[in-house]
Amino acid sequence: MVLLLTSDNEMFSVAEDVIKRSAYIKNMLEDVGESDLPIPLPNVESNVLVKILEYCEHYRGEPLPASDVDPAEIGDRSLDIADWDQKYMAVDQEMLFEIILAANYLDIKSLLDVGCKTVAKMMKGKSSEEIRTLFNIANDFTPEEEAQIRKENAWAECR
Amino acid sequence: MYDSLWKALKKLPLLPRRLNYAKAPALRFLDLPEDIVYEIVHHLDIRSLCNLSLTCRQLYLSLLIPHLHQQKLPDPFREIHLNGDNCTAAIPALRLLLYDSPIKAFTWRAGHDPRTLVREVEQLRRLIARMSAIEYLELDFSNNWPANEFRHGHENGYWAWVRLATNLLHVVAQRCRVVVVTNHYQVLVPWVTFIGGVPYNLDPPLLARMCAEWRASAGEAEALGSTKLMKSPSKISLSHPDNAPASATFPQPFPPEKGSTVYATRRLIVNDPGLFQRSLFGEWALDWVSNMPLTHLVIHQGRMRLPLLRQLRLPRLTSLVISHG
Repeated sequence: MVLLLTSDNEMFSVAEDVIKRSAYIKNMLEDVGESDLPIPLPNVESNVLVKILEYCEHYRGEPLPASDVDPAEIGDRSLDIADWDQKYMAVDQEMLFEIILAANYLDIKSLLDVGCKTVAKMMKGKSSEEIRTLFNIANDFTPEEEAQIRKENAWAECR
Repeated sequence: MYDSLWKALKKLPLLPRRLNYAKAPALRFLDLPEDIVYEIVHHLDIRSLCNLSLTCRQLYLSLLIPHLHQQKLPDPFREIHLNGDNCTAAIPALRLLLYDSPIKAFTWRAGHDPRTLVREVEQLRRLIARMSAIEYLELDFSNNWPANEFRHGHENGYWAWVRLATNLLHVVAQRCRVVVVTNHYQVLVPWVTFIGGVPYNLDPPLLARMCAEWRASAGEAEALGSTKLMKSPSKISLSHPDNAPASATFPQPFPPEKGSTVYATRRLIVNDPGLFQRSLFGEWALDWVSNMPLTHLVIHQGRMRLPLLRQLRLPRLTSLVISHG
């Protein structure tokens, strides 16, 4: 078992084969060897770690992706997401971003990829205004700038 | 009295709760680190990427240029080189940039797929129209040789295409100082002038040498100055020639307005000038060229005899080459 200490000081005891999906933890265990000391995760809160562990538990036993293969590099630009992953990612936006950040920190490439695809899927086919509303982005262009950028630029209609 | 009111207010549990609900989410999309934003953008099609970049200044500045770098356009404010591979993904993003100073060199080579040519040409026109000036422009239709589907289209589709192409040429003449058009005849008047075989251009080393010389001297002589820019003379149809309904009618192309349209092109190379062959379109082409303040003109006549060329009126011309096959 591996002990993990979250940023809000909660301790988690996790099976090694579950948490090894995280390349960060896997490397740390290989470097440090067996230890009773908990691994501190200062960037991950307990509620987020619970979600991360749910993901790792679901994919327990499945082969780990090669650590040096980046989905972006192999040209995987599709937005296909497995059914279970879609349900798993059906969380509020803040939690979604927290999961993405934690996946990035813990170096869980498959989870990071699913998270990024989920956000990309939310954006797909939406206008700038719809994306602003969806992600709470303030429009800080001046009216003049916006007019200049959009001038003669109805490119979206040009198919 | 105020003390007692304040104490009563403080006892109300609703006020702080409401404030809590109004709190903005702790983590927003814009708080994500840049590398994760790029990772997300990597999954987006070009249209969604452009829409995202138009949401706010931060995303506008951080998304478009890296995307263009990926499309092999490291300095889009100075040089733009488009070919069939990067055209689709690059032009929409290029069209969102603001071009304050002239572009040094702009080259475009048609993609291999003739079906995307119409869209590409229309997007190209819109992009060039956004630029204040281009010192050197090269349009090369060679990759689409032979554009069979245009030759077997019907008349309405043909006119739609001619309007699209003439609008492009009109904008090109307004913005660009040195222009090289290669293999346009099979695209512009393909039924009439198709002579089969391979593109029949100027001797490639000669063309390359001439382009290099002109390109090097572009900007040295006359400054681009404040050219008065006119609006395109007509609204084009976006219909692909093949998709145009048989009942649709398209008016024939406008000639450029004489005396009022100010063109910027001073040097022009036209390869295989079927442009001047068909009677009606030839008239348009004559006006197109005659309205340019040309000092240098090279026309490769190929195997065709083009009597219309005699009607060109170019008072500032200092160098004229009409070559035969």
